Amino acid sequence: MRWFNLGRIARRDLRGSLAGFAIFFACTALGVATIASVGVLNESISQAVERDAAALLGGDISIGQPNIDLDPAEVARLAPERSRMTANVRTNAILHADPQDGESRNIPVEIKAVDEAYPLYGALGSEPALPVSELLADGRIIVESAVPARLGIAVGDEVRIGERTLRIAGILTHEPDRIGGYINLGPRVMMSRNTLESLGILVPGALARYEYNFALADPATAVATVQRIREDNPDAPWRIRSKADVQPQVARFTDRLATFLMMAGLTALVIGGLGIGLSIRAYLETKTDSIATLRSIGASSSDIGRIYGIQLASLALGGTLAGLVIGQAVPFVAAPLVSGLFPVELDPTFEPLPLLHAGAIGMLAVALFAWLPLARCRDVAPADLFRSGIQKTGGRMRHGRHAVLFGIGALLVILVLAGAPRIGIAAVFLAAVVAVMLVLAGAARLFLWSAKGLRPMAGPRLAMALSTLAQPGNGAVSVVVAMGAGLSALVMVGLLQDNLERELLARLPERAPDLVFIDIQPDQVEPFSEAIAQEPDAAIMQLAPVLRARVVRIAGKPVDEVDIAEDVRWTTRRDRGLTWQAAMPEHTELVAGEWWPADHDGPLLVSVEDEVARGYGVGVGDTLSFNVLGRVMQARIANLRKEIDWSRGRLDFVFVMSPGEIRQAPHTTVAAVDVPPHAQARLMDRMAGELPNVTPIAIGEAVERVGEIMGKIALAIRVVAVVTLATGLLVLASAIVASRRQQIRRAVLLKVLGGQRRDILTLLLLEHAGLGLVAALVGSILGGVGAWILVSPVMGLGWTLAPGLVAATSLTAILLAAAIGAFVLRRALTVPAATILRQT
Amino acid sequence: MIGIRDVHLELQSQAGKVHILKGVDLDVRRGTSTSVIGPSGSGKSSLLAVIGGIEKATGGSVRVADTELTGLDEDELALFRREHVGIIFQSFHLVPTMTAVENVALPLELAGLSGASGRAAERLDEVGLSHRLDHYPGQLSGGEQQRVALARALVNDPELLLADEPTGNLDSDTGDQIIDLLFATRSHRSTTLLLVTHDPALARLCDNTVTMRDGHLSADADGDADISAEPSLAGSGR
Repeated sequence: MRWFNLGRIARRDLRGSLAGFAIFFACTALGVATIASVGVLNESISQAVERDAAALLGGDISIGQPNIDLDPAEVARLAPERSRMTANVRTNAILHADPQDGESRNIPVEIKAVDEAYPLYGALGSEPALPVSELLADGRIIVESAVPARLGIAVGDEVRIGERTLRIAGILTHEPDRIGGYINLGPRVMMSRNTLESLGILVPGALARYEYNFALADPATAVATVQRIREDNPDAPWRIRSKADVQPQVARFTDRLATFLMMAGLTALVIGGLGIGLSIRAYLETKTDSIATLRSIGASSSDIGRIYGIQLASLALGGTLAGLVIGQAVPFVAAPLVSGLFPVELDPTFEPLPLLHAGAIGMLAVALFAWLPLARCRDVAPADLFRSGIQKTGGRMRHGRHAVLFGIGALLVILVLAGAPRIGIAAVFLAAVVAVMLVLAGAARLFLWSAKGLRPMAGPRLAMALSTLAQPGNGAVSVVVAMGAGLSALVMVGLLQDNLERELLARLPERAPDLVFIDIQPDQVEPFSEAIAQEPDAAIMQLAPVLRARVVRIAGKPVDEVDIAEDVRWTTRRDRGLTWQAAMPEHTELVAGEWWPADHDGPLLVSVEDEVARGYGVGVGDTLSFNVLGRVMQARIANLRKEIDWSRGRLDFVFVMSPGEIRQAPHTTVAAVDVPPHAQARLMDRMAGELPNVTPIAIGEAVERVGEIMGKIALAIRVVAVVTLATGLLVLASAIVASRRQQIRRAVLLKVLGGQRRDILTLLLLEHAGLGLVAALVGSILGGVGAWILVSPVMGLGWTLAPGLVAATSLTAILLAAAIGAFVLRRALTVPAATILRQT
Repeated sequence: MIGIRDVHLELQSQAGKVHILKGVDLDVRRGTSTSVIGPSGSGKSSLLAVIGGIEKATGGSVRVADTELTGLDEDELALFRREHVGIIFQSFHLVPTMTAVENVALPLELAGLSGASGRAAERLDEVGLSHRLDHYPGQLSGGEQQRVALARALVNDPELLLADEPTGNLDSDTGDQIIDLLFATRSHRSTTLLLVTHDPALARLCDNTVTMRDGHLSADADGDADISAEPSLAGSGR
């Protein structure tokens, strides 16, 4: 009954005050919506990947091997009982077309050759929609739409790959077992296995991947089956995966992005929390008389806490629910925009768990910022109704209340970390946000303190503006923290993107070779060199033998049993290219050990990149074992090299072997060639004619694709940064609203004393531009430092400051702050003095 | 009903400590009416606040309705007020977001009682506001607002009614009406009344009058008798 009555009093007391909670509501809804939408989107991706896992893998289990086909007897031995099987081969080649306009063109393509059982799961999408056997009859191929688009040809036209002319039978619209979204060497061309074999490009050592996929009689046994086959074949050259391995593979990419976006949403919520705190403080200040009245007629401090607690909880719940509705709706809108980033068709559904998580975070964040004002309102004494000029309630906070505040904060952190896909990233992010907010708060206090000192030196208007800023309790610190945090995020993202674009998209192609040729057979090195020599503008920059190998043992222990650092785990996940070299390559810096003598012919030695060795926990003298096309070779680490600077655009290898017996292993050669753009097509034509199996990769095109993906990610990040800044501006607005009565009173007094509207407007603009300036200065510095840390020490790229970008962002923020200030307080300019004076 | 001995009240102001009540003694019998007069800032309202458990005395003993208030904490004082005291303020202090009937029902609802609205409506009827039940304070005249405040002060039948300048914000006609109503409803219930006022005519309506001057209380309107010399100020009632 009492709770019911208190709820009723809370509802009545709130009447007419809802408009004052617009900012509270907006801040809560914005933060919760961001976290919820990211959570729902990530869950949708996870579920789609789980749903399509077998289709994405190509079967319940998949056995693959690079460069050499498995022996049919071996395949028969490995095939699980009563399973269905499909085999495919993937390789690269040059597709040559003679369109009707007469200008012949070549493009690199990725070939996938399948059998008639393909696909075991999911459906192949093609235009026209015909059975696979018909589409891929001998001599016929289907291609991605990029092929006819780039070559000016159409379905039905003939093209040439290797030694054979083929007819395009249709357009490939959906390949169920392709984990797309990553960088490919060229568009897909699909054909039958027989057709591929007749092209003459599958020469020994050519880069190819042979895969055998199985649909099990009982798909639920996939993981156990893979486990059993792995145990039965501990040193097998091939790699076996189950559909359960697909999810982690996709999650490696999506989890990072989701964690980042979730943390950005949390930042918006925490910054918005400052606005929430200011709104609540302003609201409860207007309620002091009502609270004192309630206390005078018998309400206990607990009753007051409950009445206003019920009000704030209801409002927080409203904001949170609005945020959840938006959060659930955003993925439906965003799915088509971000679909290219993910390997699956996104089908957003109602996702209760991420919504619950986002909702709980929203409520806790509000509680964090509402707690102290709420606790203070319990201290309002009925005696306040009798006092004037004598200190009203307030004063020192009790320790117990800070303990509760700390408890709410701790619970929030636990909840955030528990829900973040990557706890490590989330923890670093949280720590950075707290650090940025503390620095901003410190800077704001320093500025306010110095504002007092500057007052005597300033002109009359500026002096008045400075004294208003320095006035305690006006929310200036919250405004600087909130706006500064938003700005620092925006500046950081801007500088980060600017530097990445500069480094990767502009400088990398300048320094990198124009074309890289792969799959040059040992007996083709000479004809290849001759072909380049005949092209007057082309020159070979680098030639290196390459073989595919996988790390299987580290210091004698199987890879699965070694605790490998996360950032270098990619080196053990699949076959990697490695090379051998007698002399130490140019620009190499050894950090440990020595390079082998040029005539070394002893046991196999290996040079390892320093960071990878550290991640493996090994050093000079330890051994690494590599599975080279089925044969396990052990090499002793001879030296460690300084981290590879990938941005230099050189062909580089994590593992470099000493020459010797490894030369006998089947291998190919890779060549980096510099050739001006106008000669590229001619050189590629010549190669397609003379060495059809040698595949060129145009670095410019690869970089373009990287740019496209980066652009999409940057857009997502920028949206979040803008949300953060918008939240900061909301906090500014709430701070102004909180002190509006006081400001309008001051303006009226100035008018009474002879101040003109122009004077008052100048004062308002100066004050708010001053706040914007401090936020912009500190925010830009913090954002700049953050971007520098990521670009230079973390990514190891060159750093350029874009002062124009920083200045434009800062200036916009300062102008916005001034404009919002003047707008919210426009009544101060127009209100007649008598109206306000009569009220007091 | 009221017995206070050697009560001191010191409060902190921005200029430093202010000694407001300086050793006040006062006895008030149950069912009587007493007025407190004196110049502004003499401590009249503070005395009222101490007796109502709104302000905690910094020294001395305060006994009201058989309850010693000096040892009670804020919440115990709130409970004490809820059960024993009704208060009327000069500035009415109605909750602006609540209607007349909701304002009057507040003490009953805070006590967790059911049927609060019905009882509140009855009280408003008694003060002649049955036609204004659903009006907000902003829609009522000053006199009507004070009548709502009176109904709220009496809704839980308190033993003690404290009135702080109840006519201070009203014109004289409206003020007279409120005073008539105040004394009529009080005598109807035999409620003890302690009234702070500037108005000597209003003070004379009470059974007893005491004068507050610079934190000290004296027994008559001229302020030449020290209350501490004559602790009992019992009267015959109006």
